[in-house]
Amino acid sequence: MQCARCGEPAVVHLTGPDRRLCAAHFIEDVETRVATALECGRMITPGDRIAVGLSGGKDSTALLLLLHRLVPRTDATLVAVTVDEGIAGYREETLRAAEVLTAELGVEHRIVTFPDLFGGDLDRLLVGREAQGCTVCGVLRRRALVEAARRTGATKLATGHNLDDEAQSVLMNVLRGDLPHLLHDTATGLPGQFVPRIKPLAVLSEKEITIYLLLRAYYRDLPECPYAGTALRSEVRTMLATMEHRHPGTMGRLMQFREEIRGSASPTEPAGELRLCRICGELASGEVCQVCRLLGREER
Amino acid sequence: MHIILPDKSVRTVSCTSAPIEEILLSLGINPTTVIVVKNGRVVPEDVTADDGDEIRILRVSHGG
Repeated sequence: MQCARCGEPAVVHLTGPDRRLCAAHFIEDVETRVATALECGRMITPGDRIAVGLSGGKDSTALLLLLHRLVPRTDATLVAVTVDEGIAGYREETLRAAEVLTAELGVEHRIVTFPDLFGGDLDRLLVGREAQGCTVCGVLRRRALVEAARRTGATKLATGHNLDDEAQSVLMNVLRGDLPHLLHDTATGLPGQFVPRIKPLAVLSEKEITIYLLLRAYYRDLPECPYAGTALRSEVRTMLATMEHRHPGTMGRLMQFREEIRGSASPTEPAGELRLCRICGELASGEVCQVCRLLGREER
Repeated sequence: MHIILPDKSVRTVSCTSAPIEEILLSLGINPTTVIVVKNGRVVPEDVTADDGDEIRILRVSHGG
């Protein structure tokens, strides 16, 4: 089993197109694909200050490593932002990993915490509703990242969402019959309201990202989030992994499906009307935003 | 061969030669969810493992 490009032992067998690559050529292949995604998706514009959402976990670590290599080709700058939700026995270790990585790369690093933003850490906010862990955390973490990006003066927010995450989201929206969310594209942003998001790793599977980290000697066997596995996503993840094994390319085709749906949707079709939350003034789909609802602010 | 599972437990399997994908499936592991390190090197799952090899299986998804 040899690399198709140089004859060295292959570390990976990729499909679409079918190719076997050695360590050096796999790293090159990954970096080329991400560079192409950045360029084709016009994710970086001259003068951008890119806030990289860095949890310290594998995806965001790979994201920062890749952007740190690719961004100097543009005139954009990087800043890493980390949200400390306060998850005992989990976040401490990833937070340390984030600090070590940014120090090593010489990237500015800003940390925001749930207690600062929401008056309590996630463990406290979830008392009595632990089963909703992923949902509550997801909503609050998104808000916290946006706030962190704002504080750093960022013009873009880059997140480590990978192909698996994105394909899972497509399928979840289909299963929920949620067309507005399927059509909603956060890449455009809204001037003065929210920072455009970019997802440069959406072209890489979770497995490819992990191999990339292993080969660059940045792989760490970090603990699993204690709230993981409580959401629909967990079921969809297992289902899609089975489909991907039996029918390689399934996740890529789901992404293609989403792009085609977005492309064929009528431009006048509303992707969910947005207004400003009457409590905190952030963008909301209703009178009160999800964050204020989750924090029980509307009852006060 | 020695198989080190994602939870760090070790299984010793006696077999002459088998494709790693086959070994993973026999252990109930979906190959798309793991990375295989054979004798210290990352390998594609269609390579063969022989008796005496050390196979380390790393889980890809951490779910959070």
